[in-house]
Amino acid sequence: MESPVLKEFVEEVDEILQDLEQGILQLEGQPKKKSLVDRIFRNMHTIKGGAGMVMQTELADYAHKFENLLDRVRSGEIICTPEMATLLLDALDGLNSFMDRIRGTGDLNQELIDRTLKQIGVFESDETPAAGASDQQKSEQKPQQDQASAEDSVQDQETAAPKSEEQSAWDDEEEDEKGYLLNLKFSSEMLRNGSDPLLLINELNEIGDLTLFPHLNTVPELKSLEPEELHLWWSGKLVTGKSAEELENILVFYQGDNADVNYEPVEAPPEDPGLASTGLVSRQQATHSSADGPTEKQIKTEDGTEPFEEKALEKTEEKPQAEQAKASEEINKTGEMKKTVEQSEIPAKSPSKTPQNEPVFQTVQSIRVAVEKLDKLQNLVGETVINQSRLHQLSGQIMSVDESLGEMLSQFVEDNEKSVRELQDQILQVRMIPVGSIFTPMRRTVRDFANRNKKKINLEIEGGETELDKTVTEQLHGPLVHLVRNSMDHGIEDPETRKKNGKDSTGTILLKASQQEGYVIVEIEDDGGGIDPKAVFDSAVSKELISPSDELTELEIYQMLFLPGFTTATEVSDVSGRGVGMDSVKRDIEALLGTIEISSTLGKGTNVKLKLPLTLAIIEGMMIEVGSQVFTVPLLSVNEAIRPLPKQVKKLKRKGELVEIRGEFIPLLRLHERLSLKPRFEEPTEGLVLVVQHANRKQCLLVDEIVDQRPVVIKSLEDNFIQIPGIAGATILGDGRVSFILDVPSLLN
Amino acid sequence: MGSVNLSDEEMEEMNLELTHNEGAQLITFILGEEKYGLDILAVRELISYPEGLTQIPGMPDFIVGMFNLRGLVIPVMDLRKKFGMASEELHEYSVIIIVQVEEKNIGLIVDSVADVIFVKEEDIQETTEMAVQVDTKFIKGVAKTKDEMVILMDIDHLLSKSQFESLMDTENG
Repeated sequence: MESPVLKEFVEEVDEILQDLEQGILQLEGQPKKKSLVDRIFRNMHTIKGGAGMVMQTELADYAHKFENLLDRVRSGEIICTPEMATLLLDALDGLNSFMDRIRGTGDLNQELIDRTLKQIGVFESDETPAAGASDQQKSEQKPQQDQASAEDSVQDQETAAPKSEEQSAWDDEEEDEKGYLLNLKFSSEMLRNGSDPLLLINELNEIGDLTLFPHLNTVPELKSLEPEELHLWWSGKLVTGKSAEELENILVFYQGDNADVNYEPVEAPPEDPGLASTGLVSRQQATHSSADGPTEKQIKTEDGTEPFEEKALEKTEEKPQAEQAKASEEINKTGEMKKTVEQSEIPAKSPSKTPQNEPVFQTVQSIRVAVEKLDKLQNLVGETVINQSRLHQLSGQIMSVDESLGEMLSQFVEDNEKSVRELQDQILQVRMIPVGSIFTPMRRTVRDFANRNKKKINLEIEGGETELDKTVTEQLHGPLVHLVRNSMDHGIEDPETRKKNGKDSTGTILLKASQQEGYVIVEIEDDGGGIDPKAVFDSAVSKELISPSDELTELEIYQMLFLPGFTTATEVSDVSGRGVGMDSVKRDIEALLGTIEISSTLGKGTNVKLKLPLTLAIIEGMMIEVGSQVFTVPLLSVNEAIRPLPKQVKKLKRKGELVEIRGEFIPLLRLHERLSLKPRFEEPTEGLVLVVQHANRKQCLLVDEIVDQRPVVIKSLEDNFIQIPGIAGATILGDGRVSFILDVPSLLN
Repeated sequence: MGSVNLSDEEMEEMNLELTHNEGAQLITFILGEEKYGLDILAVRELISYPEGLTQIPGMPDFIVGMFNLRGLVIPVMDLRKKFGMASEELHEYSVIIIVQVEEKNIGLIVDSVADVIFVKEEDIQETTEMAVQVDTKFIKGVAKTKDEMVILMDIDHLLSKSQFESLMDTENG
């Protein structure tokens, strides 16, 4: 692993393997999607090539064998059956095993390698591979050949019944994405009418991959700018799975007398939509002005007046062969005619072999940076932030000695503050990665579990693009695996039970991420059997955690699932149910300064909701003073601060003290006692009471006073030799002193 | 180095270092009556006693607090207190040796730093049976130089996790 080339190879292959896994899993669901096979093939090819370069010949050979297999899938010779998908996934494990050996983290699983290579033979030697798959495949292939130049094949039936010609054995033409050039010149009155170009742009963004360029040339100078008019126009490209009709249906609302809102399908979306679209304008004009050729006229009327359903119908009725013939015939005509043909063909989903639109590769320039370097950079920025606040204090001191000098310094410090904040924001941005990076590997986990346990489980992912700090994302992985396993094992019932209960035999687990007020919410939801609150309650009683007479809300009952050693699972399985899970999940989430909540409906399913901060590096802090020391409380935990009246403070026998706030009794903790410090105020009626909350529990903390409130850079104490109970970390104050950040969850216990 | 005039003695020492790569370079410091040595590779830097040490709640008394070293939060241990010696008033000449073990940092307060020396392996005697003030568990051995004896401190043991955990257990019940 010393060689940098090898190291780079390992890093690259690690990424490819992840992509490969996702590709294979998707292919299993859509075995006839050509772009997927292409992607998998390409990945395998890259591994082979790379392995050859770094002299890993065994690995290169191995990848080569699978590349060959995939090549045959690609050419349509064989179809990817579930068996083949399993083999490909095993091969993936095989590749991983090679990588382990290269990394030096494990031995080569020779048994797996041999087995998978042998299994290739099954697909290689035999046209019709083993078992039930063969029949299915025969029946799929034969008709395809028979009907190669078949009768009316209505495109929509292609997925349902495999009777299309062999050349269009792929679904891609059906589902694959198409490119459109867009030209959005809205009416300048648009904003006055209460409409907004953003509405359309957002809508387009949702249905596909949108790249727009604003054109500023029509914006007048500031003095003559009419603020209520729209001066901008946009052009660009949209790559979407939607048909032209669907697109037209969206755009139609924005078209009008003064507006020029149109689109044009393109064969391959241009590299630079900004430039190409200027060409589009002129081409459009040309099309409008020249009116020779019957086909073009027809198209124009269709585009303009005829209902779109009718148009689609007409197109699908056409025989593919006839259409191809027509196309080739017309290609021989003028170039302008050719464009028109394209225009007519794409909405009709041309069944030609080569996909109309290869996936667009956007070239975003990027470099690979070790996280370690980012960490260092972030630490440096953190120091700069601290120095900045020290400078701020200093300028105040200088001001009292020399006012004009102090004024100058203070001005400079304020200017610098902006750059520092920007720097801080940017470095945080750089560290953000989509949470999907830990969601997608779950597909494999779910698939393997479902196969092994004879369950049918479908994993859905929403909001995978939501971004979280890399560290948070990584540390979330463990708890997430745990929760998904819980859902699969205890949540989703077996297919028979599900059917009996009137549910779809396939269970669904939903992984969902979304952003909410500076937090990221991650939900793990299943439509399984749910958790019976009564069973939890009884179990807690039998474990003597609560007394049978205790009255608890449902939320509180579910919260007990997080107590160490708590489980309601009647049998222990190999993946979960040992009762050591949920409390460690909770600990992990709290280590990320997050919270976890369970809600469940018996028979309907369970929802676990994680609330996580965007980053662990910086929090909004409230500085409080106890004695001579300043502590920091995460502002998000603070509800309010009050100075209670004597009658609000109640003492309970052996149960401590309570503070009554608006009818609610909240336990009081004298922080100085907990921290063994000598405070300025011993009594809550003299000092200040901070009401903090974690999850649904509240606590009053007696402090001397609040001194400040600002964002603080968190310094982990794990890098030191000591763990301090009740302290989550440390930060550095403006005067350079260290201040401890209170660990609110642990103060509640 | 070219312009520096080295005495014969220093030259000899340098030659010793160059020719004998089996041995260790030590930083020596004074604590009470004795001279101690620490492997120089474990030492990150030396600083004078900082202002504004933050006390750590619930810690044994020899952990005197934490301070900010250019953005790093570093705990400070008073070795006199740790070894049960009479505690001295800390002043501006008190020195903190910042040691780094396994990526973790800690500051050790000593009376003063003496020297950097090189000791050959054969001069190191790995014994723990000595009449010293310090608890012998924290002693790795003794190194003999020309005219004195340096006690080698076992920094790994001094800062081992179990040390801290056991201490914290006794402190916090």
